[in-house]
Amino acid sequence: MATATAPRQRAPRPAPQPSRRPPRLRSRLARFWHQYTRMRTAIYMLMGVLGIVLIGTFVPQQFSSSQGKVSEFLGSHAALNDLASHLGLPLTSVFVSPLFYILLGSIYVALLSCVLTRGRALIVRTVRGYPRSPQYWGEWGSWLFHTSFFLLLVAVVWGKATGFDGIMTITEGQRVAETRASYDTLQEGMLFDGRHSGYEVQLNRFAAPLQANGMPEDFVSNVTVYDAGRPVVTKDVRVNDFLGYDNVDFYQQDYGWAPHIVVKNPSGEVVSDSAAQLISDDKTASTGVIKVPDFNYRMPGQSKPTQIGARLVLYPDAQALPSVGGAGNALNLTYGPGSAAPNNPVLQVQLFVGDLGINGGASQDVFSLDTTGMTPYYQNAAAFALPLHQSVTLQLPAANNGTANFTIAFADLKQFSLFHVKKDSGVPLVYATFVLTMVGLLTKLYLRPFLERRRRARRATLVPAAVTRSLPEPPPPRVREEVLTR
Amino acid sequence: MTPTPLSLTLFGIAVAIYIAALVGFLVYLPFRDRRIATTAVGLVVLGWPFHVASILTRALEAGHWPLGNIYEYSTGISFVVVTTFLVITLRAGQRLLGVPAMIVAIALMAVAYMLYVPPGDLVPALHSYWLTIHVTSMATASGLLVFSSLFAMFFLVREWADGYALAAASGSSSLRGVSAGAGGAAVMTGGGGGGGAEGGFLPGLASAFRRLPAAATLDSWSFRFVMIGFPVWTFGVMMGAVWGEHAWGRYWGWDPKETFSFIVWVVFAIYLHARVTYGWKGRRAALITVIGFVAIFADLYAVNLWIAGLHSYARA
Repeated sequence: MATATAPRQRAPRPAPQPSRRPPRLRSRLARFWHQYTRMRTAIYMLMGVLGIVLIGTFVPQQFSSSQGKVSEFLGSHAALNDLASHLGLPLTSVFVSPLFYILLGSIYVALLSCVLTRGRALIVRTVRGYPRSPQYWGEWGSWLFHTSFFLLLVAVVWGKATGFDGIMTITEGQRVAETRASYDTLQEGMLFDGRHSGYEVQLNRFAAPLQANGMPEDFVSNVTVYDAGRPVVTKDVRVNDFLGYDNVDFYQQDYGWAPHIVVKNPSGEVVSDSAAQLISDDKTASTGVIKVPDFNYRMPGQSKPTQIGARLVLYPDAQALPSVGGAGNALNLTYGPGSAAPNNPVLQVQLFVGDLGINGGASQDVFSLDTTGMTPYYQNAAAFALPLHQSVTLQLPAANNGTANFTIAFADLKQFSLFHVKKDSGVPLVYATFVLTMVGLLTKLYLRPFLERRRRARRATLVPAAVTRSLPEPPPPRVREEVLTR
Repeated sequence: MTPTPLSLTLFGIAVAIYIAALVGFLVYLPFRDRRIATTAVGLVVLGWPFHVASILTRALEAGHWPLGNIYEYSTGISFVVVTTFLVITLRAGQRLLGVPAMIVAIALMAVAYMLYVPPGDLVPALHSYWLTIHVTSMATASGLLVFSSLFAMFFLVREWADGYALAAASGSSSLRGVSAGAGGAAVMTGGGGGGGAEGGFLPGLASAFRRLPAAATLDSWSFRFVMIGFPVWTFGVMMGAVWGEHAWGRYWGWDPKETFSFIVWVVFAIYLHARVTYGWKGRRAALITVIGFVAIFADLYAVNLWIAGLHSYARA
């Protein structure tokens, strides 16, 4: 990118050093470098970036599109994607592809060369006291503009490398420490020192008031930060108002329902007493699972203790579906989704009994239930309905052909907040480069023409009127006078 | 049935007047009667306050800065286009610009109408003053950069017309208005002197297009609008980054809308570099701004309507 205004001829090196490389190779390298740092090459590289980025807009991407769309694309264009992947451009992750990084890297190397060459030339001009022409200031503007992009890269990389980025979910009433173990997903930068702040965040309340049309009007998490056990900050976190404490920022990203379910085993012992976080797209129906590994009961004839688990569907505003047989009680009704408001919360519970498969050490997904070692509680894995504040008593086989009762209660309906949590110390630097970019751009595009115009105007006033009249017509100050009015 | 909001009524009046103005500009094209052009410009001047009033009443009805969905945004860009056209035509008399400018303005308003949503609350993500700064700069920059492309398109047809006249002149030396001896240079700066004597569609078209300002002038106007629009676009993208950081905790995420705004930025950055370094003027520069034009509208509509992303709320 250096060619624009940099001196065309490179200043000869002060003392030509004897090189070990054969001269031909050296001149070839020099020629390559010259071609590489030309503006033309930079433009071609930018066009390459444009091409990749265009692919990224039209092909669903791993990190910004839904997983379903990505798999759908991969399913229908497998061969094409294979070919592209071999060329370093996996189509569903072009923004993190090798080819994209190589291209960006090449542009930045050329940019750095440009910035250094031009910067040196400008400093030489300044030191030697060349006249401060409008063009001189334009050069500085251009230099600043290009340098700011280099600084931007530094700021971005440094910020990401020394920080982290994760997702944390907190249920109402829950207090979670900012430590590695508390995250659902977490990506730490390569230079991150591994020290999380350790303070605790409690979600006091969550509210998502709805508009008349059923869309959320706002969503607000009221949180309190406890540092060393003492409350230090209480704040309403919403989409455009994040919580920042000790260089870690919490952003409201999503929310969901968290039904509080209490399970008692046949001995009457409370074996599960927690809120399950459910996920959903539109909040009128949410899905999730509950797992009770420590049920503390062994069915007769079984070698292992019995575990129970269930798939859950929550309708916050359940609508009873019409059924031919009528309904004896609420538990036998079938429900469908209504609105997103918690007018009639009902859980549909699809219960399984057996082995959850946790003890094998396999990784466990909190949103799915592996039923390979389990038997459905009801035939055909039928689900039963459990309205809020109600409980259901169910039977398991007991010794001597008897039955043992256990209960599942829908004790409370809470909400949880999903926070995007991150530490990125590069952000202020990024903003600083924005300012530099604008200053450079405006200097280049406006200050220089402004100075030129002022200089022209000053010259015009210095020339006596009589002289002006005798002089030939000055060239028209571009554009406006050329415009033909008709 | 809810009553039609006042903003929509005013919107309709503005569009109707603009359409009348466009008809005027189209009639002016073959008849060359100055009074027709003056009337058409007068109609635009008449429609403009209705346009402004429509935007203001919409803001009052909705209770927020009126750039919160695609209806409001399209209306806003259309407003920038009409206003810029008025400034150009009243200061520099570019009346022929009325044809493409009004076509773009009316098309934007037609799309706005098709995607109309009644005034209402914003989704939570849009409750921010960064929204105001970001979308206002983006709408302004879009409107300004559109003019760089319009002038570039004018340049292309003018250049074609000049070439056509030159070819005709070298073919038959009797053609009036072209000095054969002076060659291309005379044609480039020749203004509206060209023929019109001979019949036929192409010669007529060429002579009509030769009434446009000189190709070099159009080229320089196109460049000026890149010079004005590019920094505003840059600023708007940056403000979008600040808003993204503020709302979602990331200043850049390759969301389709962000990506497309980056594409537009790179296209015009290439334009500036090619022009400043290689002195790319004329046809090649014009083609780049035409690509920019396509990219701006792809960014505006294609991304919102067909590609889902974090900016999809702008659909409703």
